[in-house]
Order: sequence, then structure tokens, then C-alpha cells
Amino acid sequence: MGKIGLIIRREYLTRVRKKSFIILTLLGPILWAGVVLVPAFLNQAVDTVKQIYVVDDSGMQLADIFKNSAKMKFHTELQSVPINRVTAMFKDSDNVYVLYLNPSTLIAKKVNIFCRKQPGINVTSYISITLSSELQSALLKKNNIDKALVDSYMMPVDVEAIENGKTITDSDKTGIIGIVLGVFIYMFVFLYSAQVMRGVIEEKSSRVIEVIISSVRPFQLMMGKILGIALVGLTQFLLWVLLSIAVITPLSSSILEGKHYKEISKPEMKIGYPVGSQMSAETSQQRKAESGETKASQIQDFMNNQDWPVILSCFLFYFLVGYLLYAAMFAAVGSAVDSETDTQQFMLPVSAPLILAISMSGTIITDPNGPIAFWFSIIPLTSPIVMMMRMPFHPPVWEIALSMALLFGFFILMTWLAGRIYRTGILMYGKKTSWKEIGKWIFYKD
Amino acid sequence: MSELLTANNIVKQFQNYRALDDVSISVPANSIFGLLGPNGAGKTTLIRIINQITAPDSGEVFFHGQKLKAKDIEKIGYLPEERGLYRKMEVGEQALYLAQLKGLSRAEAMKRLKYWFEKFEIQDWWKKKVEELSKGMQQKVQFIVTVLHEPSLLILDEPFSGFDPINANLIKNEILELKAKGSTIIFSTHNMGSVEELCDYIALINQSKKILDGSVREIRTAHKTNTYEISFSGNLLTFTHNLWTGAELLDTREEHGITHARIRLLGKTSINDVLNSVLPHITLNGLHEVIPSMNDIFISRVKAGNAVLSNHLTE
Repeated sequence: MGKIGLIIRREYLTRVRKKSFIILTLLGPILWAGVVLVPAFLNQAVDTVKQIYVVDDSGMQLADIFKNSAKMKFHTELQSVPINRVTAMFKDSDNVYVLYLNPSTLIAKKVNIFCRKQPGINVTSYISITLSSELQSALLKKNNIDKALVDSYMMPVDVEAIENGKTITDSDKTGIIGIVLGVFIYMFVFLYSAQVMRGVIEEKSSRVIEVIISSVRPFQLMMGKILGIALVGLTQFLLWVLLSIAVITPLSSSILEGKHYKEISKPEMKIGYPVGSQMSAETSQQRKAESGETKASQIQDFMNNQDWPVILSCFLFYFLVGYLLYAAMFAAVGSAVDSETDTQQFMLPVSAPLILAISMSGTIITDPNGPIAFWFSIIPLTSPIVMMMRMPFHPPVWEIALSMALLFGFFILMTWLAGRIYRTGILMYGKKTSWKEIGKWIFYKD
Repeated sequence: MSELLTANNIVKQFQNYRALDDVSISVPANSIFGLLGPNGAGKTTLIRIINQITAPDSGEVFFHGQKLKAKDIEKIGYLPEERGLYRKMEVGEQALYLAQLKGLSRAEAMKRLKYWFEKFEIQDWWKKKVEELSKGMQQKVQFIVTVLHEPSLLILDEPFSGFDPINANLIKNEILELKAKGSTIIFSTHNMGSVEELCDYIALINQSKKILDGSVREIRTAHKTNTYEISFSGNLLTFTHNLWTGAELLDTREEHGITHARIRLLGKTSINDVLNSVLPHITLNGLHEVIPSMNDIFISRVKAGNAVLSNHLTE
């Protein structure tokens, strides 16, 4: 085993044997599952049922049209009691809402909810949709217009993109995959590059560095450390993928197929449709339901539509080379300081491109082939994240190739530069290092 | 006398200052060579050049008669002044790792570590983390790691710092034993007592220049100032009168009725001349030549060097 092999081995083994590695590796998938499932679970279980008392002065007998659900219970007992008495009755009750249908409901197209706390969009949109549908029907009936006829005039149109002969499903889901991939790259690059930096600082502050570099070249030590930690990252990634599959598969299948799923998703679907377009929204929902397509199978189809081998191999490339690039820069930062507290002034400029790339995710997925997406997926410091966000949108092959080539070239250049900073920096103690000084180190002779 | 290591006309320039200015040393094989100098003189830079941690701007280093090459680091053992080990790593595993970096096979390293750990009676430290050890214990481990690959050249920078007297003595004996086994040792220190005790040769570096080198015995002899200490009982005044102009009285002290007088001979006067003139008046208790200590030489040479330099600068 060569010396660099020895270094890689040490860096790898000391980290993989650490308790924190084992714990993080085991908990990672559970945390992920938590991130995905807990909000859904909370939405479901923890929320108390909202008690809604309907007071109906509209004269149209509307109190009975509301249906109870897991989150809302409608009470009609007090529908004829004067409104000021009902509101007085509940003025101190937290979870009680008084829905008042006033005499001019039909004309003003407006009702009120009296409450101590905002009822939330679930409640208001449900009431709004239910009422407007009911009022519309009433109005049609009054004017002797056939509701079926009106429904048939509703013309919601779906736009379906067909890219190179392949049907593209909803691009918002594609975008989510892109963002997830981008965030993964971001997390991995940050997590493991920071470990490289900490490792360098550890060697420097414990002064073991001078012993080591009297045995190996500083560049060998730097590369050994970077590669060893890359292997730690790959190991952890692999374990996470396997464990996540093991954890999420049983959970998600029970959720996607069980009754939970429908209840969770029902209110969500209606949120965001403007009240006026409720008819089209409902019909569109209905059509999907009628065509027998459940959301679970839609996601399944969608996942199958992606070219996973290509996406995953690109992910590995961008993860590895992106990490190598940033790890070299972080190693240089680590070598320039005496302790971790001194790293701030260098950390921000070095990590800014990563943060920039993540903060642009919205722009990238709304226009995955636009100029911003294009340029930032070509520029090496942001390309690992931005190109991964674009991957599910099938960017042109030449762009991927160019982005990869530039990233690789830049990685070589940066590693060379970092190596030059590193070999000088690791022997510098006590002085607060400035950017200017680091610049000089690059040009020092060996 | 064959040289194990020679450094010829080494120059190393940092941004605004010259760390080494045309420094040459030659280290005879199987000797202990003291590399002396005040703080910041350039000793560490020279040591780093020999260890190939940095390269000189000009000048060459020869090792075993050939130009120093990368592979030679496996024949050099280096104990830096700022010691350090991986704090979170176990002692045994760490020693194995460092030995392997110096080119030993894992099995060979294991065998030799066993020997050393038994010799120092520290077998039960093997599974301990370095951070659990005291500073002195860490130093012991570090010393073992430095000598484990049986280097032909050992570079020890302040090897006794951090040791209690017992362990310092242990290390001193190890150094002498290594020399007896054929190692050559470069020994950098401020402790002049240990220089006199251990070193065969020295080089004194001050302000980036070598200002003195040679064998310790020759240097001390060369720095003799014709000073003698005469111990006697009798009248000091009479003694002084009879010194005449041939010698100058430097100082005297009295202990238990015996006077110790230090005199420096002047001109061509010999010690016999002095004795001839004073002996009739005193009872002699003892006589010995005062040979300057390395400490005195160090201080006087460094001070003189600095004075020359400051004169030079003010002119």
C-alpha cells in the first residue's frame, strides 16, 4: 500500500468507526422519513377538530349543506339563534368558529366567520367552495337553467408537453425531483468538505502535521485526506440509500394506498384554486378520479418516466467532483487558520456559490432551460447543484458534457492552487492570515 | 572522518527576510551534532530543509554522500520541537500508522513497537487514546515513533522539554545508546548543559548565519582566555602584590578560610611564572584552568555577533 493509500485508509477508518458516523448513518433515513412523514402525520393527528356553528339568516336553508370532516365539525343547533347571542356565547372559546350567513349572502357574495383565531385556509376555502357551488345551483334553479348544461360549458384545458415523443408529466413534480437532487448535492458537498477542513485544522492545531510531512509530501496528505473522506461520504450515501429504501418503502406504501392518504390530500388539492374557478377545479379533479388514476400510481408512472441510471450516474459525478473541488478549497482554508473560530472570513466567500445555487432553485425549475439555469449549470462552482436541478428536465447532452468538462478542469486547477496554499499554510502559526497573504503563498517556490 | 550529512551554502529567503544566509554544516557520521542558536536564528528552517519539508532557494544537501532525495526521508527520524499526535487516535494504532508512513511494513512495525513498549514499560497504553495520556507520556510515545524505523539520522529538536528529570535521563541514555548502535544525531537545543554532556560537534547559528562550528572540545579550547583559578590560604593583599604585571586578578571569593582567585595571564606570562612569584607567600590548595562553558561561548558569540550587526547597521 502506497503512502497515499495509508493516509486514505486512516482517514476512512477513523471516521467510519466513530460513534457519530454510525449514529448519523442509522438515524439519517429515519430523519428523512421524519421530514417527509411527520408534517403529514401532524396535519392529520395533532390538529384539533374545529367546531363551526352555523347561524343562518340567509333565508335559504343553507345550514345543512356543510359536511363534517376529520378537521371540521359543523353544528346547526344554533342556526336560528340571533347572531349576537351566539358570538357572545363563544367569545372566549378558542376552537369555536361562528359562520354567519347574513340576509344578503346571495347578493353580496360574502359571509362572515367570527372567531378568536384565524380559522385557516382549509376552513375558509371549504366553506367558500361549498357555498358558491350551492348558491350557483340555487341561482340556476331559480332561473330555470339546467345545471348539467352549464357544467358542459365548463372547458378546463390541460396542457401536455410532449418532449421528443415522450409525454412529460407535471413539471412541478419534475421540479421537486430536481430540487431534491440539488439539495442532496449541496448537503453532501457541505458536510464532507467541512470535515476535510476540520481534519486539516485538527492536524495543524495538534501539531502532528510536522511529523506527517516529514514522512509524506503535503500534497499527498491533502489528497489522501480528501479521498479518504470522499469514501466516507460514498459509504454513508450508499448506506443511506439502502436504509432509506428499507425504511420508507413499507411506510410509504401503507400511506399511499391506505385511507390516510385520501384524507390528507383532499383539502390540499382544493387550496389555491380561486373561488371562481371551483367548477373547473372540481371537474378536473373528477375527471382524474374517473379515469381511475390514483395519485400513487401517477407518482409511480412519473418516477418510471425518469431515466434513473443517467440521473444517478450524473449525480455521482457531480457529487464526487463537486465535493473534490470544494474539499480542496476547504482544505486550503483549514491550512490557513489556527483554529476553527478563525475560519469565518474565508468560509463565506468559499461557500457563497453553493448558497447562491440553492437559493436560485426556484428560478431554475420554473425555467430549466433559461439563461440563468444554463449559465449557472455551466459555471463550475455552481454547476454541481444547478445541473442536478435541471437533470429531470432532460437538458441537452452537450450542455451536460460541457458542464462536466469545465467542472473537472476547474477541479484540477483548484486542487493545484489549494495544494500550494496548503503546503505553506500548514506550517504557519500564530499569524492571522489575510487573503493577500494567501495569494502570496500560491507563488512561493517549493 | 566521513560525513553523514553536509549542507552547502544554504540560502532560504522568505517574503521579507532571509531565514538562512549561506549556511553550511557538515555532520560527521556516528556523532551527536548540536545545532545551536537563539530563537528565530533559522535552526528550524534548516531542519525543515534537511527533512525536505521545504526546499532551499539555493545550496545543496548531501546525505550518505549523495544528493538528498525524496526516498531519504525513510532514513531520517524527526522529533519536532512542537510535538503532536492525533489526540483521538489510539496509541498503538497511531504508532503503527506513523511507522508505516516511514516505510515500515505493518508486521515489522508491530514487532519493533512491541520491543519499545516493553522497554519503556508502557504496554498497557496501547489501546488508550492519546488525549488520555499526560504530556510526558505523549512525549515518550512520540520519541518511540521517531526512532522506530531505525533512521541513520535522527533530528531531535529540544528532545528533553516536557520530561521530568527521570524521564529526561531515560531519553538521554536512549540517545547515547542509539549513537552506540551507529546512529547520527542532530540535536537542537538551548540547554547548553546537555550540549556539553552529549554533543561531539556543534554549529552555532545566529541571525541566519553560521557564526561558529567544530568539535565541542576544540571550540572550548579555542575559547580559552588563559584564565586560572588559584585556591590558597594566606593574605590576599600579599598575593595580589606578588602577581606583578604578568597577570590580572579577575575576581576572588572566600570560602571556609580559603581564597579562590581567578586570574588571567597577560602577555607571555605562563602559569609557572605566576606560581613562582606567589608560592613563597601563600599555601596552595588547588589550581585549575578555567575552560569556558558552552553557555559562555554561546552568549559571548551571539552578543558579539549582534553588536557587529548593529554597528554595521548604524554606520
